[in-house]
Amino acid sequence: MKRLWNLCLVVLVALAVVLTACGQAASTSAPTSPPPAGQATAAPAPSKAATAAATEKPAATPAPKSKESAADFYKGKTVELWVGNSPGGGQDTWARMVARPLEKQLGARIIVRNEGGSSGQVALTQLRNKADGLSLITVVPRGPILTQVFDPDKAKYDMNAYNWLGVMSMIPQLLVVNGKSGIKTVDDFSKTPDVKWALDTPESGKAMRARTLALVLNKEIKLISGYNGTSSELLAVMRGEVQGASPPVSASMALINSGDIFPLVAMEKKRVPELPNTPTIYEIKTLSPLEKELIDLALGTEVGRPLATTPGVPQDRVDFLKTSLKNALQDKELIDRATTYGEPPRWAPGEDIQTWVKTMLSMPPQTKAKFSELLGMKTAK
Amino acid sequence: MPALIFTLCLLVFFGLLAFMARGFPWEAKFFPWLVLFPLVGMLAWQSVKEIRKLRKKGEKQGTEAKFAVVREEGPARHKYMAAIVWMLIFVAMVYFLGLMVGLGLFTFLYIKLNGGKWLEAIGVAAGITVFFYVAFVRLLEMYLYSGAVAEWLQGLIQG
Amino acid sequence: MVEALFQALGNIANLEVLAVMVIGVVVGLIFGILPGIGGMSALAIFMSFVWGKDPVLALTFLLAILAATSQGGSVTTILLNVPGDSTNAATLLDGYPMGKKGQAGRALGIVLAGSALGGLFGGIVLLALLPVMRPVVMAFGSSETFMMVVLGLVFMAIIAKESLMKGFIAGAIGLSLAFFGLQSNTAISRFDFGQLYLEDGVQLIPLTLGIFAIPEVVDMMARGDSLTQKAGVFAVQGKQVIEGVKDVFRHFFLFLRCSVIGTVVGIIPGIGAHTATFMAYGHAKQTSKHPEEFGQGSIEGVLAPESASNAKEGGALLTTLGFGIPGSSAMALLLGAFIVVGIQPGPKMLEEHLGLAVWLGWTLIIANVGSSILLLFTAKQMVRMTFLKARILAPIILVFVAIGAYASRENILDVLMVFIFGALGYGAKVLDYPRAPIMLGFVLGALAEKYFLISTQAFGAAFLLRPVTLVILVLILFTVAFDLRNREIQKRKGMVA
Repeated sequence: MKRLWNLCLVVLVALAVVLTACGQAASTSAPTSPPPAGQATAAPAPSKAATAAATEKPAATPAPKSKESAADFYKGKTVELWVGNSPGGGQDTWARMVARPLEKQLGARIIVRNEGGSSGQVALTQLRNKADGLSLITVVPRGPILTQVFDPDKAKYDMNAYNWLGVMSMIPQLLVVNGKSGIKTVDDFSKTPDVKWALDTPESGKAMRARTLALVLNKEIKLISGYNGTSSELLAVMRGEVQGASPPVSASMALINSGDIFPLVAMEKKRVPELPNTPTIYEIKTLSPLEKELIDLALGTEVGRPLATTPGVPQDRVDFLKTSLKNALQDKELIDRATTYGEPPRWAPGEDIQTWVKTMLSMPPQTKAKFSELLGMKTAK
Repeated sequence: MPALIFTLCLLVFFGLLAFMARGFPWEAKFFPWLVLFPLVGMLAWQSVKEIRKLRKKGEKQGTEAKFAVVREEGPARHKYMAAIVWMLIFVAMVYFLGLMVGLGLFTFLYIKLNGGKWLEAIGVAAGITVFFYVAFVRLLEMYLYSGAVAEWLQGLIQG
Repeated sequence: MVEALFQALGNIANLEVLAVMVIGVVVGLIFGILPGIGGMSALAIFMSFVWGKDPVLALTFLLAILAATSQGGSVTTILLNVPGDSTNAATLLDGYPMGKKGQAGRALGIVLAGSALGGLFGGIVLLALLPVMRPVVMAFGSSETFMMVVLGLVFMAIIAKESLMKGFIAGAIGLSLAFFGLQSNTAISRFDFGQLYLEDGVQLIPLTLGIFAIPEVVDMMARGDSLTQKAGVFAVQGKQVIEGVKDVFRHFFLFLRCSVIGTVVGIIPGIGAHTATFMAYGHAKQTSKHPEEFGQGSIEGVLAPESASNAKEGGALLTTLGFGIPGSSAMALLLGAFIVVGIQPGPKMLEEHLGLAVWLGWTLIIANVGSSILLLFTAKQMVRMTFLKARILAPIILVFVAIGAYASRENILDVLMVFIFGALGYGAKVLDYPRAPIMLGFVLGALAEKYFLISTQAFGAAFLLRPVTLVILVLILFTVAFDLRNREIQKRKGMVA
């Protein structure tokens, strides 16, 4: 009797394994050509890959020999859209907003999957070897790229090997002060003594923006880190606990309109449409070439909400995905939703990110040292 | 004896944490040390107390005390061991077979091997699987972890 | 203002609004009962339904969902020992033991009445403070928040009353677990053992499940009998629920105090919903005449967190409406919904859409009471679950544990962590370490550190001298003195007896 049981057990387990495997395999059994040799080594030797990537962009795999077009390939398939953050945030909201119109374009079913952890690095690591084009990913690129540049041994992925399809939305960022403090111009601000600035962590984009301001104005700004996100920082500004903060435009408009906070500088190349009177960081002073280079790099770390597919995907599929994304962003319902969400779609081509990633990875040592100061990297490592 | 082992494990682990914190800047280690030093101290003191207790017991009952069962009343010790083994099986099944298959299969096996009837075992297992499939996969469109085995096979297929 | 109050209430006469509210409550209850899925996820999912809808309808729907989820979550907490969401974690401390004593019905009754009245309280505070909220919210800066957290830690020491040493060890373990992962003040990843997973720190849900649910399942598997051993208890369950409702009125003053705690914590952004429930629990234990019953199925131990958790939403909504600054993570999503339907919360909203703001207060009240009434009718059926045989119930609970741990972040490692913490919890249970201080320490540890560092950075040591900070400090000293006096009294009693 007991033996019979054991037998049953083994059979059942085997059955389960086979069934799962079949189910999984069915969804991914598309004809895929193996990634080229150079690509395959990207995973196990990240630091090498990082330096190699800086000099040459890994060629995308040539189109498979079969006559099947990329559009045919996606028809009826299931595509996983990975979000490198927990459910509920901006990245997640965007993934879910773009999923429906993108489904229409691809003719495939899209499942949104959250794989939070280390600002998307967990997701980037897990996806690095999936070369079929059935996985898309959206991450905030800042954390992953900085890890790859400054701590290459820790990065088990290569941002440059990923095929960047485009930016769905850019998020304009601000530097704000208390609306009742009487500070109305950058000059006023320069004259204010003992300025404290609220931010989340010393290595965040918010900290970088504050340091950039300090650098440009040649003024000491004391950074108070540890706040729980934009809400807490803005409250701290309003309470007078600190003098300034660096929030995105979308989270600040209400308080700007009510006069609780005042937008001092926009951290953008061009003035923000909603705030035509707020100067950009480029406008407040004549910048030296080094300053300009640094600010360019800094603004680059905040490219908004980009979408990528995995390394080694055949070029025709990458192209198809790029066009599909661009078309999906024209969807009227998506535009309405995104606009009411406070982040209207602002498309930028994938090539822009690819170029920027390359610039980041090939930064000359002096710039790298200066830039890491701006990022506040000297506190750690 | 188990009490002593438990305390010592905690002592080693939290001692290790306190040691790991030594290289942090003061903002990062101030609070951990504020907590960890007293904790390690308390654990050390607790271990001493446990050892003393064991000695006293040892004097009274000789060597047998070492094998004293933690719980005097309630089910026998082997039943607890069996329960813990089931837990480990559960973890292994979920990890290797994924949530959908692992959970259903575990439910079935557990009920069947603990004296349940076929109908009962299959019914509950199927009910649970269907419930979670409908609620999470179909309605919430959530990705459920598919298991190490499936991921490995998928890798094989992809080459 | 009074006029606005009644004008807004007129919305309920609108059949559409009423229907949307009922649907919202039902949806919220279901999401609450589903493991690992709380108000946050429910809101995230249903956000897309409200695009382009009428603001009143849309916001009523979402707020009704939010109000009902926490009560749905309490059901699985009491019956299965699996909290539906992190806000239910504190209810587990005494809710499940009550169920084990065969009083699941009574516990549910307490939850229902406590939540309904807590929600009512929060709603009333919201309505009352709407015109004068600004100074209230402004009064709580980082140093004041730090002091509030210290007050919570004092409660932790009080929870650990019986065996002081083991209690302190448990509390310190909880505090240490809070220090794992990336520290925001310095951007240093602590104790991550080189694992990316640990950079995000220890998560509340896996910790709670491991510490509380796993040891119970092991016990249940070993014993092999049903949760409720007493035969014939079933017949009384219906009456028990009513009894539970009455319990709330028997401890009405405690209920009021815990609702205040919930509301205040709700108003302060960045403390977190679950903190309110644990603080209320600690407070209840401190002021109880029978602190020894806590953890063994104490009525007050169930009432305190439940009233706090539902009162909290009123406070959080206040900050959200008045400043456009979300008081909790669920409120952050709700804020998104406001913007989606074309309303920008903030001081201006109170001028332009006062009617809507007031109606939302009413929604909170009505949805809380409504979901309680709905649960009241179904509670008797649900209690049947505790009469299932162990061989059926144990795997079901394990399935809920696994899905619950997984669903909140969709990370399988969270499920494995449950069992690692399960080992800790099992050891603690067998060796008589109190487990509640682990949770409280964990919840408060990171907050204490964060706000202490912000306060010292911003004000130096002088932060202690800020007026509201001083008031809370006095409150802390008072609490400690009160506790010492209680101990003295009990000691004397012990000597006499």
